[in-house]
Amino acid sequence: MNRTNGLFAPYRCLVCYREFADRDERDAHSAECQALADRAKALVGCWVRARHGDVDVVGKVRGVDGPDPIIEGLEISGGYMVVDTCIQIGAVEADELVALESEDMAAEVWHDIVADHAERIWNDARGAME
Amino acid sequence: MTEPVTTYSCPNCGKTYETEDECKAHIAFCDRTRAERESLIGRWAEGNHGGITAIGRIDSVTGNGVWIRGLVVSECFGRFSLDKMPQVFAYEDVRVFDSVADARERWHLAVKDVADHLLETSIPGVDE
Repeated sequence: MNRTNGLFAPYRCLVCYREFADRDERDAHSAECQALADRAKALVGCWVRARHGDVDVVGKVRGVDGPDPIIEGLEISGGYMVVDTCIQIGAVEADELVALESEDMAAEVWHDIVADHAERIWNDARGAME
Repeated sequence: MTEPVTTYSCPNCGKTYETEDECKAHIAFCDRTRAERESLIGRWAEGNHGGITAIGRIDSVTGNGVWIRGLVVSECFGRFSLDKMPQVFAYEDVRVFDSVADARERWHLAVKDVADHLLETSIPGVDE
């Protein structure tokens, strides 16, 4: 028996396994979730830029887990920059997962993203420095 | 019984010497450096210490190193961090900037260097 917040929840999304008490609600969610998974699968092997909240990623899609792309590449979030082989990012909006044409473009986009983060950090700290 | 060893230490930075002359020569240098750095309090500057780069304003002087209030680029096990710090001690390569614009430009260059480094040392397989 599946329960969500103490309520009987017999319906699961077959993509992300989230539970729903209502079948129609689950079906609507599943359709969206499957579309995200299909989009991510279509990008396997491609250079992408992905963003979710404060997390920005540039790299190659290596696989898919549920609706989320698994990316090998560079990540910047909350002032940290890392190289990672397995970044899972929940790119829930269409404009948060964008295919890039080439490695050169990926490098260019990476630099733009980092510059934006650096500028934000500078502006946040400016008051404390003066 | 072991003979006690006399050492001489610098009152500014604590560095120790075996001879008084060596220590005196160092103290003269250290005093000059400290005085120079005290005159820089309030200026926008960059300082480096143990692989950490700090960019901001010089807050105070301890020994002959400066405390910088501002932003820091540091690395720990391949993870680069961009932080806002109330105080970072910098001893080596302290250099001042003429303006806040120069400090801002240097901050962006320091961050870009890290971004370049990460691109160059990117994980094997990403270029396949």
